[in-house]
Amino acid sequence: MFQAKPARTQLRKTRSIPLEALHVLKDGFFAYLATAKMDCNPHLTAMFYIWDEDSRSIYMIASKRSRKLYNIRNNTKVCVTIDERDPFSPGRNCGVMIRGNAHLVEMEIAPQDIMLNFLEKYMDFLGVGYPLGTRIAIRVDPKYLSYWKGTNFYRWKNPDI
Amino acid sequence: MSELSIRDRIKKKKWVYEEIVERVPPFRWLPPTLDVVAQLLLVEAVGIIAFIYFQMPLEAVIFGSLAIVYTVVWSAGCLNIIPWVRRLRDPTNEQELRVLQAYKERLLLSRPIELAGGLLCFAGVITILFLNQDVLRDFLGSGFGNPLLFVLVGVLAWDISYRLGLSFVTTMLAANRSIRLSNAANRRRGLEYTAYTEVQTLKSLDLVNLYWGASAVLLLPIASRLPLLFYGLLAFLGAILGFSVLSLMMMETVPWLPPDVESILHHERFAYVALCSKKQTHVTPVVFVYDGKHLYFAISVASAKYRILKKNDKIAALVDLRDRRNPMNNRAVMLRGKGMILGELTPLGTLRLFIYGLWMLWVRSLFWRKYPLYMNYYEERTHELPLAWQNKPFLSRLMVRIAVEKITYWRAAKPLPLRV
Repeated sequence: MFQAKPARTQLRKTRSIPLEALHVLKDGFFAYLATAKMDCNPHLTAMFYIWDEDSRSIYMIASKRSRKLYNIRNNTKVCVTIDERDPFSPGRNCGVMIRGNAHLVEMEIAPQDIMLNFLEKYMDFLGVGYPLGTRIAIRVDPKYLSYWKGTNFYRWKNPDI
Repeated sequence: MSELSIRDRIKKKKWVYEEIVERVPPFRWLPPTLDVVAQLLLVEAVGIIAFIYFQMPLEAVIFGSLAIVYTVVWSAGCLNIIPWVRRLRDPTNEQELRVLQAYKERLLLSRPIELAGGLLCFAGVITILFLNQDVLRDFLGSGFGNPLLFVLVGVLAWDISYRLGLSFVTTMLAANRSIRLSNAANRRRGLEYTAYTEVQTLKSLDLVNLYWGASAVLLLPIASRLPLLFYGLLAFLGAILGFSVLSLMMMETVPWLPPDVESILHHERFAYVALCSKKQTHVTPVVFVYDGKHLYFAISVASAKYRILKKNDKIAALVDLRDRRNPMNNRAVMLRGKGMILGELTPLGTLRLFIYGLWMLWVRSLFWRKYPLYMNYYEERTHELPLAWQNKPFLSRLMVRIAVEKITYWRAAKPLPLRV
């Protein structure tokens, strides 16, 4: 009787991703990718990412020998969070959490325009000699998306998956 | 002497008591737990035979049994903890490594240090008994004067003296080690540290010193007949208690993680917490505090985090230092371990509240210090906030404590696993 009752967040059943969430996805700089093997022991890393509007998916690039790749090969269900932090007020924090399936895409067949956009976004970080050859692209198609800004929450479900 | 040979010698060389247990039948045939029971039964049987054969007073068998119980209680501690000390892994900090190496050499390799306390104690006990022969005569009854009985009393006196002396020596060495280790730990740089499981083992050894000291209370009734022995034993107990507490307090000042990791955990303002349920991970940003040992963050009972944590307590938390201008300055630390929910109104939650309640108040004050604006926001806008956000400790808001099992540190995107 003293405890708060779990409240269901508002679910939006629209075809397109809500605009506020899209802003966060486009403007964000770091994504936090959580993966887990079948034993459900989570692993979390900060990643560079690019949001592709056409395919409505997130692309990240990772080393082929990394733990996250190993986890994704065992379990494709992943979670990606992108957020904007406000150190002064929790009311101004906003972010997007995406749950969905990850697909590994070899660099040779990864869409060139998306990879170019990725390199352009992180040009200062990755430099000219970024070794794409030893890496692999991770594409995450959102199945569920949770968006929050301050105390406002809503969820979006991808009608196509 | 080379480093390797010292390490090998530390692993191989045993204390006199351990050598006896390892080589002398029937102890050599038994596992360590049964060694202690066998010791108790064997020595007690010899004592009872002597009691019957020499027609000793009843007092002798009671006091004799107390002395035997003391030796056995001590032995149980010795056989359990000393092998752990031999297996201690080396710190990555050179100064701490030197401190621990010197400590292990003195504790495990030096026979004179091992026996010095026991010999002094034995000499003192024998002298006092020699000067108070009347007490010994009352104690031994008609058997007084029999050389065999004197040998038995001598062996028991040595057994006790060896243990008392060694307890004293280990406590002194531990206090010295803790002070030096604490000083060395506070001069760490970068990723130098002593893994905290090793720090925990050393603290366990300090607790064993206390246990050894406390078990000497069993000897107080025996010593009560001889004032010098009694006050000597009280002084011994006081010294063991004082130095063990000093050692434990100094070990508390040894940071659990390297300075680079501690700096991120103390100063960065947001953490990302990943949980997993039904093979699906879940990540959310949280505000957190680090108390020097564990990471704490608050959750609501209405949150998905709470629901998932109830099913699976495995957790990963990532705290990172972002620098968009200089990629080489990006650092992150990922802590993987188990999350414990504190503040729940359940039987288990109430028990945890009883154990950790005061510490939770301290952690809450850390939140106030680190996030005054956030906490004020929660306080001032309580009525505007959803119930899950209302900042009521122990009611709708709960605390999660992460006990770390694995640490990965990234510097400029290069991962580096750190031992825990």
